[in-house]
Amino acid sequence: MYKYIIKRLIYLIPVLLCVTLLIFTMLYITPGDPARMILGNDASDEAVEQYREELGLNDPFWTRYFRYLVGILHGDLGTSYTTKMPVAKEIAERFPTTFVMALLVTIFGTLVGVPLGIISAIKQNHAVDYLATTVGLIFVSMPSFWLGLMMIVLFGVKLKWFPTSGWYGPQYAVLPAVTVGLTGIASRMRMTRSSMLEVIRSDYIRTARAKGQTEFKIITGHALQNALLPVVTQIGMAFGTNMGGMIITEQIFAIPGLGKMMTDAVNQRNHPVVQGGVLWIAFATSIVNLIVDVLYAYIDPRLKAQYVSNKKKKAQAPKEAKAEGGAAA
Amino acid sequence: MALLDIKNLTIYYETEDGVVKAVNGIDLQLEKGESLGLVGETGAGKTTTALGILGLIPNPPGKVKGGEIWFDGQDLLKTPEKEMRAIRGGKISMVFQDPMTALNPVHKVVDQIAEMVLLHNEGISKADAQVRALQMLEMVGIPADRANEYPHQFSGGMKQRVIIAIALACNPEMIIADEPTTALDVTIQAQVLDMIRGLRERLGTSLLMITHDLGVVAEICDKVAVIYGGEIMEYGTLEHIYNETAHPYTKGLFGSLPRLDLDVDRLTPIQGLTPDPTNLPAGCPFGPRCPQHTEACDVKPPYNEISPGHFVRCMLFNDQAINTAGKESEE
Amino acid sequence: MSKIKSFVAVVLALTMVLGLAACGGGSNGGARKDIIMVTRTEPSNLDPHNNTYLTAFMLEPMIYDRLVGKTQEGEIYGILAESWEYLDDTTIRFKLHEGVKFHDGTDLTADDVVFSIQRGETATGSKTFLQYFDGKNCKAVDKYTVDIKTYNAFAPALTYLASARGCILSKAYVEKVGDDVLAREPMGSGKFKFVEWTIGDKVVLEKNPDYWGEEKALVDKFTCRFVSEDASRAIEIQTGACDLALYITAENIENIEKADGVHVETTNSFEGHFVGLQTSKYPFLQDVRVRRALAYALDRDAIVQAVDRGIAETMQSHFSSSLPYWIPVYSYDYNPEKAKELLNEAGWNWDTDIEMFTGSAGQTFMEAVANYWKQIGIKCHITVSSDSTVTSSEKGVPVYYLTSNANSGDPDHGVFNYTSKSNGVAVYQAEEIDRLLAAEKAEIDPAKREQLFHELQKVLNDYCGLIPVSTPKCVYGVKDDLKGFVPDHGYTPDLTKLHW
Repeated sequence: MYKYIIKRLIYLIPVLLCVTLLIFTMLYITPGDPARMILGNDASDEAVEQYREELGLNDPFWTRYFRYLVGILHGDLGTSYTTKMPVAKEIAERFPTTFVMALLVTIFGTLVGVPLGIISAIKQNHAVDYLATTVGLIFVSMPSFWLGLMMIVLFGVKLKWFPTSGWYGPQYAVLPAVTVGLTGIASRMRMTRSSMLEVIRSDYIRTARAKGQTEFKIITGHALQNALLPVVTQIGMAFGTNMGGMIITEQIFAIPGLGKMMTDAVNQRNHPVVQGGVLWIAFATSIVNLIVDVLYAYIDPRLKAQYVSNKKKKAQAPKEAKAEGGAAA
Repeated sequence: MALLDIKNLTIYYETEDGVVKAVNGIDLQLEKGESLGLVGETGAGKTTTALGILGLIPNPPGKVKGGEIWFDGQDLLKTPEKEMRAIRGGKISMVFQDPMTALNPVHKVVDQIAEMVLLHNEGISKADAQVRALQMLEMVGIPADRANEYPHQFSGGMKQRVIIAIALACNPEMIIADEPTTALDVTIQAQVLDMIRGLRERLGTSLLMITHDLGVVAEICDKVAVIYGGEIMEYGTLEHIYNETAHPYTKGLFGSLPRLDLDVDRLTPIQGLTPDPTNLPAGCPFGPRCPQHTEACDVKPPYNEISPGHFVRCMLFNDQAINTAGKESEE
Repeated sequence: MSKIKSFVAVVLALTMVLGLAACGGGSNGGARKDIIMVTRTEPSNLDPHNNTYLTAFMLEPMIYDRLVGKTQEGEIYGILAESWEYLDDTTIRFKLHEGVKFHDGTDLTADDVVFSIQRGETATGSKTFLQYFDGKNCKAVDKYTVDIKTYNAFAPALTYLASARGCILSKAYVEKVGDDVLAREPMGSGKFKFVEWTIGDKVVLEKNPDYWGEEKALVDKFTCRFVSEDASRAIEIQTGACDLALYITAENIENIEKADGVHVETTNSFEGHFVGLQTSKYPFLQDVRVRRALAYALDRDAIVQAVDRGIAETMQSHFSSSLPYWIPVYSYDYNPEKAKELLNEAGWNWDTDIEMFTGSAGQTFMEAVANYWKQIGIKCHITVSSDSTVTSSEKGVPVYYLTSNANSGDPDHGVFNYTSKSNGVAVYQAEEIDRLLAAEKAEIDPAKREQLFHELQKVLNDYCGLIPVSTPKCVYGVKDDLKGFVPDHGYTPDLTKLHW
């Protein structure tokens, strides 16, 4: 298993390299002058030009790119054009917030969506199923900024149950997590439902019934573990996407996370922050995917065999042959 | 009294495309310690009968329309679900057709056997259940050091042996084996059959063997029932069926077997196709294909005992009933 | 199966309980000692010489002191300066209060003042604004006397020194920590001390108990939160989660007025929103009749009503009516017939397709303008772009959306980009305008200066290089109990006097 992990980590390097090249190129060709943005409309052309020199914006593309790469190798992601802070520090300050939000959103979506999916599958085509599917469809169709504002108005203004914006304690996380989580519920539910439906019709479920097992134990003990495998992958991917920053939600709820930082940086043509942010998100998402894949292997014994080294496999073969030979009773 | 006594069992599948009349009034008995072969083509109603005994017919769309299934003094069709769960695996076990998919891929093999033990032995500890599971594995010839492996690490034949181990774990009175060797190659088939026979001798378990393979029946069964279109066409001992073949369908089955001692260019299959279960003929279901079909066959033929223990459902044997009142009046 | 349902029910119940337990925050027992303000934009730094953010212009004077301040009515009063006098046209001598201490305990002396002016003249964010000050020749006469020099006679010198760019920094501190740290950890001599800055979230200041002046801060803690979403900001004040909210948009005013305990205060701003005409590069705009025709074609009152929904007034000159020396000179009232007449007279080529450029903020505005022009048959099309692209392309488009904010309160601030020599966006080329601009800067006598501005406004109107349209209002959401708040035209109210 360790070999596999190390291999994946090594694969990460070309992936991230491509990401940096891509984002660097995109920022390079995008119109808009960071120097002008920072100095404002009033500044003279000379001032802007001088600032461009300072920022190194006039150097050729590859020079700038390699300078950037060398910086990364030293752990230096550059300096923000506007705040003059090291980009790494800015990301380090904003990322935990986004991470916590992504975690809460994923947990909420899973805790509500998966059981609903299970119930939907078990009671397929009954009222519960239709209700859950419809509700899920409604939530996934709602635009998040509208939903967020509605939640603020209802729970924050009218009912005064929760604060309306900011990030100063656990109660501040509820409305934003629910807003984004509701969309996640629909996906989780549908995935769980279809996976459960497939699994429930399997032969081994029939075997379990023939053993005289109770329906409940069949669902939870037999069907669930098999049905949840594709759902786990989906949850991992969703978590990675959420870490990319729930931009709109952060905007509406004034949460100081990565999404808002990136949007502002793009608008200001704050290249180092955009590059650093994208790179970090790519890295974090890749790590999350890796963790999910490893987890998957632990949950599904069929996959674990793939990661077992060849040595172990050879040791197993003679055991099998012996067992076959000893079959005659 | 028979261990298992099925009377006039009728099971339909009510679907949107029509009503599938899978089982149409069959009678079957199985004595204690006996082995009965249920023979028929695909779609004849064999698996449905088996599932019907255990109450495992998927409820939409399947429905038991009538009949009684007497087992150990109770009608299984009227038994509440909780008791049925105790019977499944405890008194009646089932071995399914496809070993490749019948085991849960994420549970260890020993745990799947232990689960059976835990279900039917109240108060037993997990450790004891494990011990019993290992015993069962040994009994079917799987070494103990493979107990903690997963199904995908076993071959088809070994998987089927695990399934048999599961079925026998709680010493059931009866096993229903639904084509247990169909998915296996011939050498493994021989091994599995030998094992089943040996276990039966040791434990005295009754066996309902569902198969379409007359060779397997000959090897392992005491009695045979031939099923077609959801009805029993012929029933009797091995002697009766193999040497005193009566029903034209049974004759047709034997006739279509390839033979080593004859040199022929073509096989002789039964003409025609199995009937559409949503649209069965009114009279004898085999009628349209029967080489000896007459007009009389358009009425449902009665089930007649033509010699002690040998029953046939065919108009040809209508006048040969040794019991003129007909089987229906017994009991 | 029922077990799963009950499990789900328990989870949902727990979530509710968590939420309910968490609500009911914000106790209001006793007289409050802190203030929470919510505004739209987070500044990039709090270095008075290195940013152009209005938010910073509000916070910096709380942390730092300036030499002088300016009231709403335009009166200059002394802060650090005990007194001052003009030695000559280009020199002002200030006498500083003695015993002024920075927050780290060191003394504020004339050296710090000289240092600040010199730094401000060359720093990126302030050099355009402070370009008139001759930092090299500013002199610390003694510990508490300093001479400030300007290159030429500069009438608005005191006004400019009263702006946030005039904050006095500690020379020792800046030299010790460097520009980058200063940007994030300001240290001055003001009524409030800097406590912390959570990026993307808030800046927190606390009372300076050792403030040298008589009037200390009236609250213990001041928090400035950044909420960029208009609706969210309005909801904050509506629910009373904050005490003061800036940049309330038109659609939220009613809700805030209806809510208990809060109200809306509106005042005119120093801003101007214009249709910019790039006369230098486009021949077809160089005929003044064409420009005037474009002005006649617009029903500006209707545009103001539609775009700003009544939270603005139609401009009648080239800067806000709240600035001193303002006179209504605008002479191109809506007259589409006259517009067509003038265009024909000028030989206008009706096939010309005028390109109009704007950022997302000016989109509605420009669409309204385009509609009016289309109504008289002018062909035009709008290119909308994100703001950063606009600033770099504006030089190359005939018509563009322009906003200006004479935040300092001096009318010169509203027009100082209009010379042909400056490289700001709004560039006029008439020599007359150049002459008048130079003159008004140099004219110290207020009465004469006023005359110059009157003349300037008339000339600007005649030249019609820009079409002024609207001056939006400043809209603040305020808690009823909050005292000491004076709505400011420049959207940089004095926050040091707020209290309960």
